[in-house]
Amino acid sequence: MTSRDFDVDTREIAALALTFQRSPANLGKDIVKVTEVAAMKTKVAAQGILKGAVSQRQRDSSGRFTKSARGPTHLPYIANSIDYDIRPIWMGVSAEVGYNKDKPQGPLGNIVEFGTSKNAPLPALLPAFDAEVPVWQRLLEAIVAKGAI
Amino acid sequence: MSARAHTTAVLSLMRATGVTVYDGRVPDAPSYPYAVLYPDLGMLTPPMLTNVSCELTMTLYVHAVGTTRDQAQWVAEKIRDALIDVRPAVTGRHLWPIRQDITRPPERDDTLPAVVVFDQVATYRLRSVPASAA
Repeated sequence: MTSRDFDVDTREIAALALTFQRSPANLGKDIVKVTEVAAMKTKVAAQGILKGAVSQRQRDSSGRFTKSARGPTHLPYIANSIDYDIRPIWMGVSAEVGYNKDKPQGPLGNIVEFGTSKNAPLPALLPAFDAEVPVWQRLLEAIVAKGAI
Repeated sequence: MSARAHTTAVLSLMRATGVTVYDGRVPDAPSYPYAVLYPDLGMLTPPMLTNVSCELTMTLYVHAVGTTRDQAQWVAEKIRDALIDVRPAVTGRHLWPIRQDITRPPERDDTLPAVVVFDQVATYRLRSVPASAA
């Protein structure tokens, strides 16, 4: 191994930093807005998986869910225990989507999401998150592009 | 785009550790300690700049189970060492190295009739495209 395994060209990063410095004041508001929408959509999609309204996995070419799947009939309240929370943090915004342990069957969220030593998981949050992140990233890119004009 | 072929490749890696590995179902009287794999079917999405859903991203749920916390963690580490950064071989597919996704502290499970066990969960991601698209 040589002392130079890779080169980093930071010119584009510097250009992006300049873009942020020139951004309009409401850029931050737009980022908060799309992040909150992403959190809400993740919550709704995860609830949909658990309620059996939509499939966890199958989507058609336009991104719509195409197959139905059964929800856990022995956990009728688990879907409604999913909540999201959004809060400002230094230089940004934080969104959290998860099972609210104060709601009925909320404390069972980990068992549903990850399974147990003898039972398979019924993942809802992870697939919902995976489906939403690319959409959220595209929206963030659009906001940054708008700020660069 | 066979999720089954990917799962088989992962099971082979896990079983090469010598740890008891169950495939999606744990028998009524399992041999402790053990690992059990719950693979999902994977997401099929189009790779960037294409419109054909041929990129497969699978999530592998691995439970490492022992009668003590130490046993569960030992199994979890053996499995992680066998999987992480490894490219399983699947005919006709180009696979990226397996990456760890989520890990959780061991949980005590006292719901079984005859034994109290500790269960350490970790999830891994496996991603592939057709070899012709790599």
